[in-house]
Amino acid sequence: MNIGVLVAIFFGFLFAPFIPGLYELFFPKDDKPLSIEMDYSKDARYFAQSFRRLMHSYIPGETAGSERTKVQLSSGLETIKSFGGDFKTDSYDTDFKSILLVRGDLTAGRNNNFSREVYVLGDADFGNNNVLRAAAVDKNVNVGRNTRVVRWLDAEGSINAGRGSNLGISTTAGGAIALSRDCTFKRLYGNPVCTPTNDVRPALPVDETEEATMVLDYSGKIHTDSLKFDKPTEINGDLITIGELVITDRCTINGSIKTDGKITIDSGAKEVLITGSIISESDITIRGNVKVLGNIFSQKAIFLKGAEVGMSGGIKSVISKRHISLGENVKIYGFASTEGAGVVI
Amino acid sequence: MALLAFIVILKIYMLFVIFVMTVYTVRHIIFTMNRLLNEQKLYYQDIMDSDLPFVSVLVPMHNEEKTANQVLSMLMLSDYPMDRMEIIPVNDNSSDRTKEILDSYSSAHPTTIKPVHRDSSSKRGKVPALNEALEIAEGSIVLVFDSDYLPTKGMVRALAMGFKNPRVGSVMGRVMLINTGTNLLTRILDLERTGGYQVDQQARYNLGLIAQYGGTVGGFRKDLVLSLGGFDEAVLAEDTDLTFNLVIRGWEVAYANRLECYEEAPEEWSVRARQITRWSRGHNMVLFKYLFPLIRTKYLKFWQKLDGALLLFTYLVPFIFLIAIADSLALFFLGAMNLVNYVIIYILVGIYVLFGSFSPFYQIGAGVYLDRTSYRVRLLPFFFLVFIFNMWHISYGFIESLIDLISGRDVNWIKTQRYRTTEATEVDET
Repeated sequence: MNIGVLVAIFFGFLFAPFIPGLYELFFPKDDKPLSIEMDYSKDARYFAQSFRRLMHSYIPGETAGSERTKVQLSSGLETIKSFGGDFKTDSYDTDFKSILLVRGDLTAGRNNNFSREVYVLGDADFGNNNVLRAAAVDKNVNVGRNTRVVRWLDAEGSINAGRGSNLGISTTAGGAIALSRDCTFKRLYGNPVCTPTNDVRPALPVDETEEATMVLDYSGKIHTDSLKFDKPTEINGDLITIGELVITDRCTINGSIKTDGKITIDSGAKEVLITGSIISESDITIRGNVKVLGNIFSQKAIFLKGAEVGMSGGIKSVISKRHISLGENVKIYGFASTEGAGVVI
Repeated sequence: MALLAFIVILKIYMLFVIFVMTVYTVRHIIFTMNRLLNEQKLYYQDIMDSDLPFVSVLVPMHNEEKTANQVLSMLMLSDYPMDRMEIIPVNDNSSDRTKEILDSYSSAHPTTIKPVHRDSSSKRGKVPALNEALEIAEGSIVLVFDSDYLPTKGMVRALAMGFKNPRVGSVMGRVMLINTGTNLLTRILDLERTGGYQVDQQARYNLGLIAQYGGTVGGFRKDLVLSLGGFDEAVLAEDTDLTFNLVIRGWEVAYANRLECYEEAPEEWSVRARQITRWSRGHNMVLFKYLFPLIRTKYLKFWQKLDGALLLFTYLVPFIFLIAIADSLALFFLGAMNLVNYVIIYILVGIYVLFGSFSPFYQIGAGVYLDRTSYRVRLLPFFFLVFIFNMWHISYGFIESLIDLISGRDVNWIKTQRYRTTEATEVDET
């Protein structure tokens, strides 16, 4: 073969990989900066508040009857069915296919499907076994047994979630959220978020005969081993360890906790107070009379029973990568969130 | 006899290089696979907490009239409560309008913007400027933004949330380019950032390895840094220096991939050359300083130490490779290319030849996929040019760092040129 042809083939193979790049360079199709949402600001109630703003811009004038109007939403041209007063349906198995705007209270029967958003300016009572795409309510909400929220639910007042209800991607309230057993969730925001109360054991008074409280100063220390506190202890400074942590007796930690291993606090009726946050790369299990004034954060799972997180008037968070299980007597002032499943047991 | 010994040394060196490159190949593949297939570790930006620490935001500046307005305006738009934040722009002996711009902002927002003006009597550079600002910073948390950065509205709050973890000594966000489409260099740097942050940093964070504080879009605990004696002014890479100074003492660096911030990349190869030479010089000084403390520390596990060492050697490897090219040429002309007749060596060479040269491509390709972009990946073959460019300038930086180590000479900070066309404007009172 001619040497010239060989050289041409050689350079052809050499430069061939650059051809698409040269084309992109001179005829760019993807040369814009990667997108960043410059105005993003964290707001647990963002979906509901922006929906309310949108609805208020379309709410027709005062009317006693019902009417329909068309609005342009991001999902396309939608119909709003508006009710001037209360909206009560005793009907069952009804599919509401329009966006509902109710100026009074809403009372729904059983087995209904609200396949579009609902905005209620009064109270809302969704009966058992309903399916609710999304709802913003300006007063209080009752969610019936086994009712399922597909996307989000928000109330300016309080929310009472019935047994077995699924609270969707996000359920938020200006007031309290009361959860029943078998409720499932991903994100909750309330002041506070509560689980059912049962057999609340009063905190044991300090027993004068018990061992004296051991006082430790952990300021600036990072431990490399696992730690166990099975006697009354007061710790000043942050408790940081690469190992695991177990607390089974009265304990006050004037600081935060961080571990690589599991955290287990199981104090029964004896008081445990942590003034900072609890953070772990592993599971966090808290049972007993435990008060956490900071946040709880786990890269794995969180189980809480009898724990109180945060204080009235403040906002704190319980965040878990995989799973949150909430037992009885849990109170969270603020936010609970998991990428996995949240459940009340 | 001497020639034979020389050939043996050349062969041993080649085997060493093949081993090193294979190790880095495996590392790149593990990171890429982790990012694509494994569970991703959370940062702390989802924490909502009404108790916010007082934060000092430092913005080092030297002749930044093109960028000062934007970074300060963006910081003033932050959703962080202004009574819990102060902004300290550090004017490092600027000769342009930087001082006037900072003073006008300070007049408009006297309780929030508190500029520091350094004159020619002070030692120049980012590190001395940071040390001086730390003396007056009131925040328990210090965040740093270079002047060409554009922090988002929620950035300060989200970065500060990382410090709710009491073991976090430093946090780092993700850097993205604002001038991506300018030319071939910026487009390549855009891909390099994508691979470096979207895949490499996040994978290291996922795996519990050493995520790196990058000196901007990040922050640290003030008291902790002051207890370490502040930043070492003999080191050009104060960010890597802080990273290793923290981790050998048991502290963590948290990486926040979702906290994205625009920066301006060099648009000229000569500017990029100076930048990467400086990075190499600084990074290798950190290598000399921390390799043995890293190996000895009781706070890290074996894999963390191993990857930390590989991270430290990152800016030495191109020099090792440059020598290997000369080595292979010498072996070729000496007719001694047949290294060793062991199958394992052939397998290692095979792995390296087949995959090693392209291993950084995996990270970039995976990063492009994760960012849901598409056509920009067509520029990937141009990394061949970058490879040669980087090898040369990083090697030069390594030699400079060696001279720094031996001579103990003072290091000088060379500022990266800005290209922003937005001219300095008067402060917007609204």
